[in-house]
Amino acid sequence: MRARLILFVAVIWLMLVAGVVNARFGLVRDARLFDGAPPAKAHRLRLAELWSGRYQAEVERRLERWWGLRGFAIRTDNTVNLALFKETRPTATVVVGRDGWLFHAEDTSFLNRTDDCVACDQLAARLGQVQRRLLASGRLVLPVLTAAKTTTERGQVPARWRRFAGEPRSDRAITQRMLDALARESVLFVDGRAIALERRSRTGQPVFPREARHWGSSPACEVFRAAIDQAARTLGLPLGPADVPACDGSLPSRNSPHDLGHLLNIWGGARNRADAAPPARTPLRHDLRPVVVGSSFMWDFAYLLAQTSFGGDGRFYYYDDAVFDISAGDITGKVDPTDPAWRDWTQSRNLYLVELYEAYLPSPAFGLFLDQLDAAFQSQALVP
Amino acid sequence: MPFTTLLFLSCFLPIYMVVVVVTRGAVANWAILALSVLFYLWGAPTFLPVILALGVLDFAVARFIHARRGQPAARYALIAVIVVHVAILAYFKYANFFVGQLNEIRDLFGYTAWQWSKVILPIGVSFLTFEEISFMVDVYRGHAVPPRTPRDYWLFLMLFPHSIAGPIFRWKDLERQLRARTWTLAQFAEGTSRFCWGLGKKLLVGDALAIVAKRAFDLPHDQLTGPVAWVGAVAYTIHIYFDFSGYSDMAIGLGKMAGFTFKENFRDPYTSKSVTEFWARWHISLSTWFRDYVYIPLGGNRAGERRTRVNIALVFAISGFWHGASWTFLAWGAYHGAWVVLERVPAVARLRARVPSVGQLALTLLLVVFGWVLFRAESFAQAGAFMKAMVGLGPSPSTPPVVWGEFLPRRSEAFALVAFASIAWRVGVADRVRDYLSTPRLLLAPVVLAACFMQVLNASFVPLIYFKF
Repeated sequence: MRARLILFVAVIWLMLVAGVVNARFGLVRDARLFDGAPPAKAHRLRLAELWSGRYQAEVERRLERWWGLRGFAIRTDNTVNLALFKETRPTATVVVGRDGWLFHAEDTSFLNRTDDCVACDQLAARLGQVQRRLLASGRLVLPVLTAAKTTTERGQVPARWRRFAGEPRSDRAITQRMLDALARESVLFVDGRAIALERRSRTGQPVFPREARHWGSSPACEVFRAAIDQAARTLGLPLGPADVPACDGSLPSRNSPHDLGHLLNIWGGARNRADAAPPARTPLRHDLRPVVVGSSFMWDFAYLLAQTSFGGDGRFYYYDDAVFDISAGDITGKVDPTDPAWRDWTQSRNLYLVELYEAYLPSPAFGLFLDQLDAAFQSQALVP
Repeated sequence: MPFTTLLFLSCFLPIYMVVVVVTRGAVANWAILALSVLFYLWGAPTFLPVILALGVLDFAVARFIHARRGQPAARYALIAVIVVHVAILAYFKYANFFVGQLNEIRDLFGYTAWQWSKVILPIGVSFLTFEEISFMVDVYRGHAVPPRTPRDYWLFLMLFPHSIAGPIFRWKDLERQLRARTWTLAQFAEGTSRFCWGLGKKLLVGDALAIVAKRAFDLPHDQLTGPVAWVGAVAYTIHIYFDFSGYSDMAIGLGKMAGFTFKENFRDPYTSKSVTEFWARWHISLSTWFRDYVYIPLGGNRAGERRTRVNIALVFAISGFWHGASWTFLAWGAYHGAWVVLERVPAVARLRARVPSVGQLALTLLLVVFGWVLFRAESFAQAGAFMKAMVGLGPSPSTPPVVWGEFLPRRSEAFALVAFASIAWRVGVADRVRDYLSTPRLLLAPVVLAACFMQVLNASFVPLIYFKF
């Protein structure tokens, strides 16, 4: 009996100290966590901060990151949770669908939205206003509507995660409202959502990989081609077959097909992989000068531009925040509308591909770009 | 520093375990006091000087009262010190509430609101005040002798296992244990096991249901349909019991590790067959405190049935208000008081006797669930909306109010079933003492502890799909 109790107490005590001991002495290499923030720096003890409780909060936050078996604990917890309950933890951003399909919580939230996208009308009006203004000088602001995974792969969303049994309200009250508003304002745009859905019914192939947040490279390519065709027609710049790559399924993709799978942080998940940026072609023609502004969906556009005869020197303004230089194949800086260099370069473009991600509406995925662009051109006379 | 934090589990608790194993007698008391001071310094540093000063004041006044027992001076000293303690509680716990109420009245008459910096409630101040009052009253009544040194009294006040959520100590119960207590390996192991199980009750069951309850109580009133309101109310019913009793188990377990025996605070309250019985099983240290220091001084049941009922109602109303600074807490106390009074009516008692045990149990649980709605609601309007929905008078919104996958995780469903199963099982074995040294409990305790660690670590981990550039 005595030995049993000593063993019990010893096991519990060792379990209590295991994480701290391992963090301090590095006895066992902890499991890696996808997108876990690095350990925070140690906080210096100051009496005033101790008195206010700030020091304690910092120490506790640091301990959580520093704890030596954190990766093991989190991965095990997530694996057990997924195996037992077929779902992620309530705070997780991934929703588990049927047959191993994964969705981002932002997309299931969009599917279940009950609001009316009243502000979509203003957004469409603003797009129309800027588009018309710039088109007069031979520049085209071209909105591209991109589809959420819960639109194209809706059948994989479990009934428990759907507010509406049939057609969700968001189809009508958000996306269709945006489309109607764009039509009403006579805005030229590309309905990437319709293209993706048409492709899905034509080929039977999903638009999104099973464990990915973003679309596959082939559907992205078809939308890209539609956008470039539209732009070329509108600007009167005919394209040849070699100007734009064919959508043959061999295209690289910046977006990993397993990014949501990785967010699960479970044991035995697929390795994360994203293609490296393809080397950009030297521009052969300079009459079409694009810039892309939008969310991660637009990484595919940036990669595709590298393969065109005109986009090799283009840029991608990721969320209108980071600048991805297509020729360098890397992030080269931050968007700064107050910088004359930004203004000069941006004004030198004649095609602005701006993304409207349906799940974010009425917020555009291009941030404040429209206003920044408009302001840049307001400050000087428009010259074609 | 709640017991469920990584800092407590990984650092403080292992040190405490070593300290209580290697120290004995006065050294052990000094060491535990030092750890308790550290516990307060970490969790409520600004309140630490207050509690130390109160300890000195109480110590001095108690000795004064003890020396002058039977004299008017002792009575005046007792009244004065009780006023001081109640004033401190009133300031820390109720000042924000009363200033808010006064400002509403001023607003009615067109006056501008008083500017007021919100008072932050220090941990355990409600428990502390009651312990100090009971100490003084017991010394005055001659039921307890004052401590010989301030150290013992500070230890009584600050003994960290009970600092956050009780149980409420009585000096007379602890005094002997501070002077002499035995430490055994069996007790230590039992305390360790009980701590692990309490941690599991709080973290695994209580927290899984807290999410559901929060989501239900965060909904706008026009979205509260019957099923949603019931799920929210039941989730809160499970949450509050597993959370609170889990904390008590942890406190009792921590005490046991050091050789202390704290009184039980819960005895399967959801197996009660009447509201009166519920209160004999729920938060026992509080119920008995109110019985001994409010109900009996008010006359208890010695002045006829009518006065007894008034006393019961009064005690429950005060008890409700002690739980929180809001009219809904007062109403919750009054609600329970009303049922207890009603159960004393002979006709009602006869009627109840005819109902089978299962029916009595179900009815009591139902009344308690409705009570928890009042307790959890932030306003009478919200409580009303919940109760209307629960009796089928809720709204019928054109769109379903919740997405069930989001609102009610399967994990919460599973732990709700575990909770119900454990409660149902206890109906059959009510009042049988749990054996925390049984082989299944000893074998499962490390599993529960591991699950709790995983929960604590994962709760703070929210990975982003991409870091923004």
